[in-house]
Amino acid sequence: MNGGLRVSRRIYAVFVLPSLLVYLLLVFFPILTSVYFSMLNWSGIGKAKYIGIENFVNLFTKDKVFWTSLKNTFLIVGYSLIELPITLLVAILVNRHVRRSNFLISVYFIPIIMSSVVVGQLWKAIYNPVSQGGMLNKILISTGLESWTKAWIADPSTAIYALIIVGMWQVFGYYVLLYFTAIRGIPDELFEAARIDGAEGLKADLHITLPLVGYVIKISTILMVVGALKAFDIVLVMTGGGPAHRTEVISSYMYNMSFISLKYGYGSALSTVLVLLCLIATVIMNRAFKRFD
Amino acid sequence: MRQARSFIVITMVFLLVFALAACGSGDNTGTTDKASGSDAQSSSEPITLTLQTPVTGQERVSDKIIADYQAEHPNVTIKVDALDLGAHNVKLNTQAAAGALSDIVVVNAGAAMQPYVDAGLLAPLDDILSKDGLKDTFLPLVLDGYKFNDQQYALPMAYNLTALFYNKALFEKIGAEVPKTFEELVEVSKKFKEAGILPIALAEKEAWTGGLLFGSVLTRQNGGPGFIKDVLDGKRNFHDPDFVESIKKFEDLIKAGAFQEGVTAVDYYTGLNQFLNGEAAMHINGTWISAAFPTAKAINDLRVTEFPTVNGKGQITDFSAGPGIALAVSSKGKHTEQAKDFVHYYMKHFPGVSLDMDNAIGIAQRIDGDLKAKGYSELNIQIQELFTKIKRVEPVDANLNAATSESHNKTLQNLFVDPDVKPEDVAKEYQDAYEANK
Amino acid sequence: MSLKQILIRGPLLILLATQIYPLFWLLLYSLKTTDEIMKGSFIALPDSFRWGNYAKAFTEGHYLKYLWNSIIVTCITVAVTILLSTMVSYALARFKSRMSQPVLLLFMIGIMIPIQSTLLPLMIIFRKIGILDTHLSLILPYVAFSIPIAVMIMSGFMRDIPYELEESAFIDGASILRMFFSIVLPISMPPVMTVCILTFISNWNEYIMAATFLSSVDLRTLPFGTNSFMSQNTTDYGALGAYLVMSVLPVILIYFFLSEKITSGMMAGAVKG
Repeated sequence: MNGGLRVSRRIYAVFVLPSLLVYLLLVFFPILTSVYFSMLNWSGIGKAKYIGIENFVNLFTKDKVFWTSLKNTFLIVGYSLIELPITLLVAILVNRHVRRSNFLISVYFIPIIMSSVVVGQLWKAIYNPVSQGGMLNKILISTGLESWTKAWIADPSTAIYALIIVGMWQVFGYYVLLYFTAIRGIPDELFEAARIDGAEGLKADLHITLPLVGYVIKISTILMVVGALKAFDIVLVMTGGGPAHRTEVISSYMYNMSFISLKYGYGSALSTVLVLLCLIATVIMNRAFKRFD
Repeated sequence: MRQARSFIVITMVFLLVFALAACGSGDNTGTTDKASGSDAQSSSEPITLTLQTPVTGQERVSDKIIADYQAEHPNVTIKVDALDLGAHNVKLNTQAAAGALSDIVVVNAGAAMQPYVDAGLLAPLDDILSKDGLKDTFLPLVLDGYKFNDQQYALPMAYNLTALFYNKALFEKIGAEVPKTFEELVEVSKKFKEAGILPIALAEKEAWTGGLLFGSVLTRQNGGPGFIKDVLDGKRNFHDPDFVESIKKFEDLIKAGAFQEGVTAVDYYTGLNQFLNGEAAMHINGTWISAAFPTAKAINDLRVTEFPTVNGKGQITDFSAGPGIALAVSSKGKHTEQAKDFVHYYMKHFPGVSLDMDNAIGIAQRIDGDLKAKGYSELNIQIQELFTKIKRVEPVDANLNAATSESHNKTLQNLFVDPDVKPEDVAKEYQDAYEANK
Repeated sequence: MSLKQILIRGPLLILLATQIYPLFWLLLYSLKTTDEIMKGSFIALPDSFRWGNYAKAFTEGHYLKYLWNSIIVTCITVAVTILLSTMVSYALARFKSRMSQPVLLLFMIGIMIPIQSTLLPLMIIFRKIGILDTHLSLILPYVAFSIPIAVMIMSGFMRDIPYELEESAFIDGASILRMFFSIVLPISMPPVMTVCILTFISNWNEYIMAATFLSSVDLRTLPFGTNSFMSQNTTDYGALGAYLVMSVLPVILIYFFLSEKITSGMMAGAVKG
């Protein structure tokens, strides 16, 4: 991606340097220090001992919790990817069939505005076991499905899925908005022309909408995957990664390691692994979406 | 174009406000590394000290003492930075990594504060301890939890023991006796469950709550305190038959249905409130919960007793007890002498103000005063009596390092979901975690 | 209504319900007492509407002060982010340079950083330059973390701006800066508004950095207010709920306001195209 305008070095600097400097100092530098810390046996306070890649070796060979957290993280990513096409579909439908579309999109957006405290309280009230009056269980009982009731976020077989649903619900409106914005930018004339040629509705979408919002699809996929990889707030607020690490994801495991177990070096190693995962995912997606550039 | 111009104007305005925000913000004390203040300074120089504390529920007591201190020392301002416990711990660790803590910090005993001591971030407080006989106001043995290399690094505001709290009315309702042995505890739990009453309220989302309960079981089965100490000294390990038996007993209790459905997702407030509002028959927790008694609906029905014996072993005069939160002084602050003076003042007035403000239960110092006359509830008075019965103490959680404790608690948490894990396997997990994190 | 319409509108309406429900739930919650909340069933109406919760939230939660601080910090963050990211995006999308591709990649890595791993290094830096306990210690990292996503969104859009616009400006003798501010930016309003909203919401609720870098009560932002209602052993859930409602409302209002601008801005863009 390279523009065509020739500019002086000074102009280039004016446009690029401020952002680059702020970013390098406050984001990139901490990444580098994090990688450095991951090679230490350090509690975060006081003395540290250099141990090379020992943290990483332990991580991959001896740490069961790591693999659980990895599996959970990938689960989240998988379900998130399924969610994306649905949000695109919704954006298309709303744009075409709903008159006060603005209002609808805005409402869809509400959950992401809520802080994790609110989201946690709300969904706990929904997922609570029968004895605490959880809504989901109440509905099951009243429709005669009492045998299906559970303690949704404490039961190992359902806990992580319960959390995934919360995450998917919250993030839904964000991506609908992104797609909606992009679709709105497509000039009506194109659809007119297509109709004259006999292509309407979803058929027109295949040939017009998709290619033109291709770039947004690419960005949102990257954002979604990276966001899923970093997912953290909801896990911490609702289960703390429990019971016994069953709902642990990489970010929460890293947080617990660094600030509660006081194994900051090890936590940094987890953080480094996370960044690497994100990097790999981004490169893969970049390649896959090359035709949209 | 008008749009662009207004955009630029708005941006300029923001940048201006931005510059103002950067300059005119909070005080910058404690953020530079000037050599620690000499204190031959005249007492009229304005000094600001930052007190870094978690939200404790004791605010009315600390607010009063702080106000009094500021009245007596008009040039001193105490800035209180109170955060929820999670954020507080993160902040302390982050500050420690950057090289200096806030002027006065609230810390926890033993292994929790040891890293700060080892890194030289805390100032020794022996001088203020010996001033005005402050040392003697503290209950015996409680100061030891904050002593390292023979120097005192923090002064405790709380001393808690773990006990069995119960709801007298609910016991009378099903005609049961308060259990004196663990086996009775399991039996009565089954009875409560059959009667549709929650036997024991537990908040196991936090994992340490289960660890607290287990610690009591272990102390009994071990015949008394000292198991963890023996492990640390290398004399025993977790494969010990007493440990394995304790796990088995613990699993028995879980299997008897003593705890809530989905207990591992119950957060601390919810669990505690289930007991305080009269929904649960029993609750095993530390005496710090007295801070919540003012709003406890069922307070008049609640009582406390010693933790039961296990397999007939253990003395009820042994308690799992923990020194609680304490005040410490940063060694890198700009005004360490003033900070120490404040801590001295605080601890000196703490018992008196606490007594007056309904907060006297569970502090680490002696209380001189008639609790009943001051309107303390029956439960509170009972708790205070328990303190007088302590003969030996098993320190809770304070000796194993953070990583090991955390790992152990999580292993225990797992039992609530899967109580059929073989006790020997649990013991192995404990041992492995201990060795991996030594 | 035709079957097709029902099939389409039905699910959309259901979605509407699931997304707006939390707001109603929160409102109900904020009008109950702590007891009613702990015992209560999910949909139960409170016995009486406890407006007192709002009064309590307002005073004990230091609402106005915290709100003001949140507004300052977030608005400045948004403004600076937009300024910096539009400039960088334009440069990367339009200027001829071999640096463009690698710089873009560099920014993309920024999306992947979990905030927790930056707390320690940033604390060390901020202590050294003495900006701890100022709003600057928040604005700087907020901007830095918002730039990558903003750049990703903006650069794609800017690439698609027709060259004729720039060429005509050059013919008129405009400098690059002039052209940027008077032509490129106005045309980019839709993605700018989107970036505006996204940056706003990611920073409005941020807590852990704020808690670590600030000490003075006077500087605190809205998320701190919840601490006033949660102490060691008791929580006033009703007042907490009221406080949360008051924290969410400004964002929703701003959001509705801005989203109008997005659609109207896009109309202008479409006509031009």
